[in-house]
Amino acid sequence: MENILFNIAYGCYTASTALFLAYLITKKEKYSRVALIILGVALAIHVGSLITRTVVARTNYMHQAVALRAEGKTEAAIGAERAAHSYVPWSNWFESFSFFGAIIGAIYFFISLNLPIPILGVFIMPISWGLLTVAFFSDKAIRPLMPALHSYWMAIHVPIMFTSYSILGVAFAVGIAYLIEEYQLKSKHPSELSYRLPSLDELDNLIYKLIMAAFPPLTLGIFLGGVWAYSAWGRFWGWDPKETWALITWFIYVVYLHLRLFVGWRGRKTAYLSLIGFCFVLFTYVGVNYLSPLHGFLSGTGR
Amino acid sequence: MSSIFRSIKFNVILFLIIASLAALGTFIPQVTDSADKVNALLGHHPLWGRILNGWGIFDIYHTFLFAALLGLMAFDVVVCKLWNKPPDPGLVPLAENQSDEEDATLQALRKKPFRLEGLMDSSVSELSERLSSTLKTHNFSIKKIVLPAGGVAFVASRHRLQRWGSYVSHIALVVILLGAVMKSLMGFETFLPILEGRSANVSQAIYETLSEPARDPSLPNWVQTFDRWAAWPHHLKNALMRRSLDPIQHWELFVDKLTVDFYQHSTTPSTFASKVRLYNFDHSVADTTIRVNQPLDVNHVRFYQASWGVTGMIRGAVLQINGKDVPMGMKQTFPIPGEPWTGRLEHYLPDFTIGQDGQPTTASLEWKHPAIVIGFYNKKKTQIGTLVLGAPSPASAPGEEPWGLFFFAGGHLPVRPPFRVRSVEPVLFSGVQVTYDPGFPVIVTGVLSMLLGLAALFYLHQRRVIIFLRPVPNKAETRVDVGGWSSRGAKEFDREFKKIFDQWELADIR
Ligand code: HEM
Repeated sequence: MENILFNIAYGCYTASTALFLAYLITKKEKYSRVALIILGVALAIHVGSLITRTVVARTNYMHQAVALRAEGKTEAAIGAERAAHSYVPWSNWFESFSFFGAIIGAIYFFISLNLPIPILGVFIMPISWGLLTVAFFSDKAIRPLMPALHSYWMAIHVPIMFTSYSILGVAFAVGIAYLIEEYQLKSKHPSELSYRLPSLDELDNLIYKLIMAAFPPLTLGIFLGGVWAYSAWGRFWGWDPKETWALITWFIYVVYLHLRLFVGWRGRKTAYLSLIGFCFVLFTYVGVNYLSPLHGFLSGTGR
Repeated sequence: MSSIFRSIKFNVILFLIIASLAALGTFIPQVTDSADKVNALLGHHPLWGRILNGWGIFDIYHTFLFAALLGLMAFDVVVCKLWNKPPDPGLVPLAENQSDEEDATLQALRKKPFRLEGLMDSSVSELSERLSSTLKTHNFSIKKIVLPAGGVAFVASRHRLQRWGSYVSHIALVVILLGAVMKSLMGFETFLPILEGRSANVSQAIYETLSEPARDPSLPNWVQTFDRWAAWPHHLKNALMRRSLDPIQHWELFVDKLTVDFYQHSTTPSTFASKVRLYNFDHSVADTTIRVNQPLDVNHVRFYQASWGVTGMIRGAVLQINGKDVPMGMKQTFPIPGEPWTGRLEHYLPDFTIGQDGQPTTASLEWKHPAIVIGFYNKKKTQIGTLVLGAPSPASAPGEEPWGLFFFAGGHLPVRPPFRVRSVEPVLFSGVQVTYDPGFPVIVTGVLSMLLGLAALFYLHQRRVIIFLRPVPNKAETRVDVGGWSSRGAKEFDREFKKIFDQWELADIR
């Protein structure tokens, strides 16, 4: 059931992304409006699938717990109960890609409600769709939750990180839009796309605002990761590759903020920084799973 | 000199250097988490390995260089923040009763992006009352100044907190590093693998790391003096660590039982937990169960269930011999029905493999291919053969057949033995991580202040409005001059500014 819902949502995301591209090519506003509505529908169905998934998984663990108690295996039952109470639908590879893609879609959706710039959908939605496509082709089974993830921090730390990452993903998309527009203006043959995009100044400002919005949750998220590590392993910080790369990513954005605010970097240079920053985000999120023995939950190598 | 440290460029470069070193440590194996890989590397490349090791490449995060760079960062932040006052909105503050200051301020007002000037048909006192109440409803804090030449000036500001945001978030960084220093000087972290039924002294392993720096009396005196001086951080650390350790030097942790359970049809454990007792000398301090994510905390010393493992020992096994279940212990001999041989339970192998010598052995201390080894003996008690039998894995379901592979060494056993392994009860060890981190609350304070500072810096837009109300000589009119400024969020401020002065119908100055 939960997988069917996900597949339907994925279909909607695909349609929405395709319509944005159709809007890019045909320049018909109508397409972008329909695309946005379909995105809204996709998000609603996706939320439905996450809720169903959570209910299914938790019920499943609870049944196991009851059965184990009946067998007299108290510790095993406690483990299953803890899994039942702490399961959230972002605990493995499939789930986290699906969640990441959804939040990027959702952020774009809410930006559009306040600041309708349909052409940005052309840049943002493919990122969301790409992540969801990785999810779509992954193993969607609900896998047993390893004991380290039996914690309420799972429900706090992870969404905060993803929110921040997603905002940075949107900043990345706007950065690309910026560079394309700048290139076209410079080449003195601006295509029609440049006229549909907001001015360079506005894009630059939007990137800056997005990064400013993402930075505090990034800080908070990394910190809460440390608090979790303290409560699970007894140390706040251990220079584990995931932690280290999260810190490096944080550094990149600190550098961005300093250069933009106090050295007066604007425009192309900061747009490049926003692109580089998101590459670091992706590396921290995916690449590091292959470096880290502790945080390898996603690649299945985690302890 | 201080201008270098204060330059953002310098700090950006410093940042990038720290980040690169940190990144390097994630690609090169570090002794802290992959000691075996480091040792293998050192074995393969004796020369380069030694040189790199000398540079601390295999323990980057604990090198002097790394600490020094972080220290430099903290130093920079302090220098920078001491030198640079928080940015001021740029309006000359009004000093009371100084008329030339007043003129300067009026000049400055005319340059501000938000401006109003004009005449109103009301008295100064009437207007100032009205103004006060409007500004208050807009949450401005107000300073009212009586002008020496007649009239009043208002300095109204909102979100003044913002200018402290930068201070707070930078100083917070220093606080966080301080927390890290406290941990490395006073805190500890140690891993105790404890067999079920055994115990371990909590502080002993840490005491052993507190060595004195070596002294060499053959060196010239001045070198020795220098060495003594250079060793003071070491002595400081030792002294502080002793303070942390002495109260717990007689703590003994007992692991009575480790429970591991697996999800159905899965090799993922659903839980592992240890029943533990903590004693100080002979009196009990704690008696509880620790689980992953559920540590035991005694006076801020915390005991974590970090890992578990098999040991190659078993308490006992049940063999099925000719259809009959026979419980037995390790090294116990049993008759083989209808044969002149006897068998003996020799070893337990958690991860069976055949070693280089052709003998059965274990590839790891992980529960991958558990097997037991049975030796066969003739009447003279000489071993004539060895049999390896697959044993049930803890993750296999009840009733499930263990893998059937068996393996002979010695080779001339005439019979196919009529038994299999019903169950084994292995002795496990519990990996308990013991930590004490007095820096943790400091780090938490630091990060929370940083977040508050960031919130103030990013989400509050400091704004200031200065209003001059001056009587027009010989008329019942008041001359109004207003200037406003906002650190960011110009649109928002525009709206606010318009709202405040919405009702003011200013006539042009004639
Ligand atoms: C939490 C992340 C950080 C934020 C939000 C932040 C923000 C700021 C702001 C707002 C300023 C200019 C305002 C002022 O001068 O008071 C500034 C300046 C500066 N920051 Fe940071 N900063 C952060 C981290 C750091 C770090 C880690 C360093 C360490 C090297 C650093 C070093 C500096 C320096 C050297 C200046 C220049 C001081 C000056 O010349 O005015 N900052 N930063």
